[in-house]
Amino acid sequence: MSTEKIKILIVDDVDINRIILTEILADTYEIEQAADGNEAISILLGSTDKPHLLLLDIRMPGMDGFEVLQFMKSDPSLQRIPVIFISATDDERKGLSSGAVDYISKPFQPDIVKLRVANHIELSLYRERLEGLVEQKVNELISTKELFLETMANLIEYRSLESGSHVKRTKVLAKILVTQLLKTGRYEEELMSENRDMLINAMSLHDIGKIGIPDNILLKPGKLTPEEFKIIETHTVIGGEVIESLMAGSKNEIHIQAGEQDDYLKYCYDICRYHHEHWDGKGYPDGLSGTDIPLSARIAAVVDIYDALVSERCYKKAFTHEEALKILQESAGNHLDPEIVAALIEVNQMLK
Amino acid sequence: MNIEKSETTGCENYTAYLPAIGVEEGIRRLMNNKKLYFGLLKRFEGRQMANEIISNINDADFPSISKNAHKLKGVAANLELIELKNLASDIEGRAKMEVDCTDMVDALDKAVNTVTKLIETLLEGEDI
Repeated sequence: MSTEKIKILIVDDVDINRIILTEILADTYEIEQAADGNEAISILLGSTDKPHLLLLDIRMPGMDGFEVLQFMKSDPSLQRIPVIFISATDDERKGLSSGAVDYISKPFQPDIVKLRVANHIELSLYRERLEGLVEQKVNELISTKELFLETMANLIEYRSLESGSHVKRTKVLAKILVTQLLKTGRYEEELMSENRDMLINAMSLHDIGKIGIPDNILLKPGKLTPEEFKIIETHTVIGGEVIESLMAGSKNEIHIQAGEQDDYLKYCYDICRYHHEHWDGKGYPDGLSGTDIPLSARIAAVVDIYDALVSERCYKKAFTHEEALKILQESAGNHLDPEIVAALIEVNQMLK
Repeated sequence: MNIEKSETTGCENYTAYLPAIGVEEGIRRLMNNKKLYFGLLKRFEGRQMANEIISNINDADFPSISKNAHKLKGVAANLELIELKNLASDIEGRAKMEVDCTDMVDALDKAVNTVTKLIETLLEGEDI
């Protein structure tokens, strides 16, 4: 195991104890010291180069060792740092059950201290490497799934004789729109908490439910009958069901970052099912209105309609950019979210 | 106090300091860095720590007795101040049970005086 740059923080209110531990460990590790819990926390929070391990006394004035450990466990940047309690008390059970990885009693036995520290640092580094590998693999898996789903979406678009670039364009439009929404502070809080890249990527799948629509209806050049329109409308529910089945399948796979995978499919589900809901509640399939419609779906509605308007379809000619903007403005507040339409109008030059 | 050289190793023999101070073990614990061990002994504030505990005992402040006896116990253990460590441990134990420790004041006082004098002797002539 390489011990270069391995940093250990020793926390004990008695300087003699800190000196002894430093003497035992300094030829192998970089040592930092803190005289109490508060100083230790300051060092931990103030340092970008976090220690690889803490040797932490329990009974100290002010913040004791248990309180320091509890603080560390509550902070994502600190919670993975292994802590070994060092103490002259017999509360080993309490120490270990509070989250410390080991316990070293005083008086310190140099060989024991060295071995325990070395073992825990090795374990910690190994776990870091392993987690890095898993994260890499999960990201590859997520990318593969996204690519697969996007390819499926493209194929479905081709089936309906529309250019596969509609899928790509909706993503580009969505990205422009999300950027403008953030820039102008619209739905800022919601967008800041969202995984915006995933939301944008999920746009690709908004019409995946068309896979379940018969050709004679999907490809009909003329006006649809009310019954045929009802069947077309089901593509939202079908799309949602396809995504739900993917969600169920995902739960059977092991992900350390399962949350990320769930987020992406959640966006896909919301967009698929709700991108035809109307701001005034007169849309389908569920008659949701206003902000009850997920933001991702409200954005998808605007970009989908804009791109559909300016594209040639089997049942209509393409509108001009200006005609499309006029239609969107007329739809703001009834069909479409007025804030999102306003944002699109503001950046319309980028859409040409 | 005469420090004799061991016939087998030729090194100093500090057994005379026992049972109060386990000098050889103390040096070993510090990676055989005798100078550092002696430096820490010189740094040891045993009198001050004992006085604080005695004051706590006189005030019957059991939490403080326990805390400070614990602190003394830890340092004494690391410096192989055996008798002082054991005494501090007893005081800590009694304080945790809130048992009167007044009868231990004299013993504590005597033990820290002994250690202080032994340390002075040990460090005589040493370049610390």
